[in-house]
Amino acid sequence: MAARKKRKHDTSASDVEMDMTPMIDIVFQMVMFFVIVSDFSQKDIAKLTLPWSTVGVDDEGDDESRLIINITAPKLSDTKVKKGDEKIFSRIMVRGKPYDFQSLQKFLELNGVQNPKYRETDPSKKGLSNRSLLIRCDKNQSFDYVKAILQICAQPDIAIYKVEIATAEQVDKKKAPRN
Amino acid sequence: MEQEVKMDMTPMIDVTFQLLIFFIITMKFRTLEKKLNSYLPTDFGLNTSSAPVEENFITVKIRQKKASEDPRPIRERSSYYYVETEEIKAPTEKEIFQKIYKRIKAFRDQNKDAKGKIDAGTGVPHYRVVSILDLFHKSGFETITFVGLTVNKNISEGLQWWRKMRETLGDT
Repeated sequence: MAARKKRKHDTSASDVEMDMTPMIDIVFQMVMFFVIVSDFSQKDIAKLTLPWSTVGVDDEGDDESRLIINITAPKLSDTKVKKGDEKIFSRIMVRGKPYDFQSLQKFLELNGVQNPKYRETDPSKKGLSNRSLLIRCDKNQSFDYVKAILQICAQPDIAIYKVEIATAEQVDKKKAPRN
Repeated sequence: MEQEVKMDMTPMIDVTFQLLIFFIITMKFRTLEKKLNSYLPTDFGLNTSSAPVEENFITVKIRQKKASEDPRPIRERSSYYYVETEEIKAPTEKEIFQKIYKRIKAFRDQNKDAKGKIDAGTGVPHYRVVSILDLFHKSGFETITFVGLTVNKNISEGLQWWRKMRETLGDT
């Protein structure tokens, strides 16, 4: 009989020494996978400079169903447009996608009172949409864009009344209240 | 007799990784932004200009200077500020806001149920409107409405308004 190689399959009561190195490697692979695959990018929040306000309330961001409309910065005289830097000026962005007037109208219509899913159930709020909307507008942008959104919301067949305007917290109190 | 105590690290590593993976998966980044509640009046369909005049309103009006007065692009020009019909003049914007604050606070102190109105003209930068909104909130106003919202009858009218607005601002 060949030499017994039973050593490797020794089922005696002695300790089984397991080499931990491959186990740790596998775990690292898994962690790397999850870290790379996880998407923390917040497409709802476009990069822009919010206007400063002293009376803003903390935005807990609890309402997951809240609509967020971003209005990006305008191209000012002193704005440096870097080559390759695809800066989108004066655009209405929702979830990372630009919207023009018609698509914005349609988008708000879908979330308006016409949609039975989003009707206020409270009888005192009949005919209103229960959707809340956060408008994040760059501080240097014209208020006309915010007006455009408010105008659509004010349409009786949309009736989105819960509108919030995003502001930034004033950090340096010594600075003059120039935004 | 001294015995070397060998601690098996395996379960320790397992638990550490479990915790790590748990936190990675459940981590949610919160933005540290603030917001101003700007709920619209719920009387949709009613034309605001036909609202009963007995309501106590104080209107702050902002208009961009004309091209002849300020040659810069419309957004970058300085603004005229009015409380009701009186123009508020001061050497710095900070002082203008302080004067506006005094006026609206005085109005609010006299009328406990006073309501604010902001009338912003074309091209007025958002931050100036927010600053006025800020002053209204600081003065204790609970209801602030925006004046000058045109409710367009149909989408083509709305589109026309939009295009005209973009043209005036010089946006492509």
